[in-house]
Amino acid sequence: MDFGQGLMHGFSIALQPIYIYYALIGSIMGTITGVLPGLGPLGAMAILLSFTLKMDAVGAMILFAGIYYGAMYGGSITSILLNMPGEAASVVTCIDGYKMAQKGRGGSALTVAAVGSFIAGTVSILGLTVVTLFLADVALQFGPQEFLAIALCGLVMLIRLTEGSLLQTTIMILLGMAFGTVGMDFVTGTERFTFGISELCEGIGFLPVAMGLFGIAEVLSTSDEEAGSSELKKVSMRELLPTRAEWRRSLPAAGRGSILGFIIGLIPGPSPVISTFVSYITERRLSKRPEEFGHGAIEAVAGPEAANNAAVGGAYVPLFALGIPFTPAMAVVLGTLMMHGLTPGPNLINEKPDLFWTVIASMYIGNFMLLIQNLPLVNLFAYILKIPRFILMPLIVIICMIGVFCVNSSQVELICLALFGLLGYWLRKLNFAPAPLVLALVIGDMLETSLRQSLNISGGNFIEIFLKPISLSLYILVGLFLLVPVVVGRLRAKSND
Amino acid sequence: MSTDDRKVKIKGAFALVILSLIYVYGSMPLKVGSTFELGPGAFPIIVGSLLLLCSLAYLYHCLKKNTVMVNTQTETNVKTTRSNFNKLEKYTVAICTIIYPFILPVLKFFIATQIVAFAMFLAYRRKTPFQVFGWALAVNVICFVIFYCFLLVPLPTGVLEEKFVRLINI
Repeated sequence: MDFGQGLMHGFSIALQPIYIYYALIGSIMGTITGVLPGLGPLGAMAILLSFTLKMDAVGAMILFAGIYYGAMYGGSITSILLNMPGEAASVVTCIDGYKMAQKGRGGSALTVAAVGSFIAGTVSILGLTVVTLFLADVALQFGPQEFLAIALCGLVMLIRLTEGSLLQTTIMILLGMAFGTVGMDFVTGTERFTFGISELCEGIGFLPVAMGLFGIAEVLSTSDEEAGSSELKKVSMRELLPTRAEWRRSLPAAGRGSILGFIIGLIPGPSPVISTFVSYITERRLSKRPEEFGHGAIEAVAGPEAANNAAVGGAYVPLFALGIPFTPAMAVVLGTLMMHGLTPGPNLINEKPDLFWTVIASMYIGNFMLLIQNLPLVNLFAYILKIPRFILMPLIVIICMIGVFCVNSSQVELICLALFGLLGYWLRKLNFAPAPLVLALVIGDMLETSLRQSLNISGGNFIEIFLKPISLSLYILVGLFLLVPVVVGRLRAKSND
Repeated sequence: MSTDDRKVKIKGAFALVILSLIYVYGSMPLKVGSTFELGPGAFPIIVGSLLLLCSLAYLYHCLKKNTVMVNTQTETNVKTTRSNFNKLEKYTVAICTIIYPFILPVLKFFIATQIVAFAMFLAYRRKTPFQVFGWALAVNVICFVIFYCFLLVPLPTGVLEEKFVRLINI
């Protein structure tokens, strides 16, 4: 199926009322969770995972794509109107977005953010389609050595790019891998760390881990915080229209942000967050009025907002093409696909073209829905912040508990949920980011499998594993990625001396 | 970094070291195999040893005097306060998530969920128990209708649940 045929086929399925409904629900839920501080796209996806159990895989993917895109835009509403970022990728938008709102241009900032997000969504979906198809074709030639290289390089880059200390991120990744070894060994059938509990033979379920670390732990952490209160700035429909000068300044910034965001989205780690910072710096450097940055420059809203949305599309590429999630949110998507009996990777596009093309088409639809739904409803979404904590927090805990029980009706998984909730809370107290743990839980299994297969193929020769052309190129690239900043930093320090 | 924070971090680092030791110890009886055919114990031993090394490095980092810890929290985060009410909320949520797996199969969905929901709403709301009971009941019923009746999830049901299903006739 070529690009045009595939997309048309995808639209013919995605335009069915049920899938449009899922896209609508997903984008609304995503926007709501993006608006709520703390509960980012990852938490929303983890909590809502159980609702997809009775859906087909296509429906689940459409819902999640809507949530992811919606959350990215939802975060900008509170950033601009309240100076309160709903999720980490919206922190940069606060800087100039809120300043614009204070000057009475909050409506323009919101429209530019929405249009920028729409442009970015469209660009990234195009990029996603082209790059995924190309990469999936190449990946068909990959053996265990190449997959081992990709998984290893992905983890190394994740350690380098994740916010916080290198040591803490490494510990999180190793902990995730350690939890991933629980269960029956896939080759010998030996039980590992199951403590005689038969339900643990299949390993620790992804759902209790994700819901525990991001749902329960989030609720426990918010109990430590004092509820913030800010004055909500109302936006009238007339204020939503930017001036011609504002359009002229923001559209190129959104275009640049889209391309930057998509490329950064391909890199492992918290790509949406990184992309916003890179876009902000780029816009400041390119701007003819850099002094306006920090005081309400519209490019500083358009660029980062476009970048974080484009990074979402980029993040789907390694998942669809290689079957490897490079971001924690993609690990949740992978978990969902596996719960529906699907293994993503290069074969998925050939074996399940319906799924791939429908998800692509539904992304276009979801993106368009976000544009038309978010601007008129902006005040309504901002009012979500007024939902009292005493309703929201117990509700999240109850949904998490019932959600985990739904999957296998397992008491052990409920206990795992409680334990991982407490672990997540404890890790947050120690300033450990739990996201790398979730990612490593998924990648760790793949890493072990490919390592054992690679050694088997190479006759136990470790050097041969690393010397395959593609693997070697990847290791060199990652080595350069790690070394270049260090060398440049040292050279700069020397020249300053 | 305050002394309290430092103490918490040191305790955490010790806990991580103990956890890694337990993991390494647990992986010892597993067969390591040869390089040609790695056994089920090889990967856990590698991961466990690295985890132990990193945990020890982290412990050393925490024990060092005047250590500067990297704060991953964003500046926009609201400052934390540790009031007694917040502690009550936190402990209630933690206890509810721990006891729920044990009471659910015995008391069945309605009663088990009502107990934990009531406790949590009461901890958060701290107002009239009747009002809180009403909120808990509403959430309980809505969750049951969504999950059991619409999503067809097999929740543990008893007499109450069956009567309710007959009553609403879904």
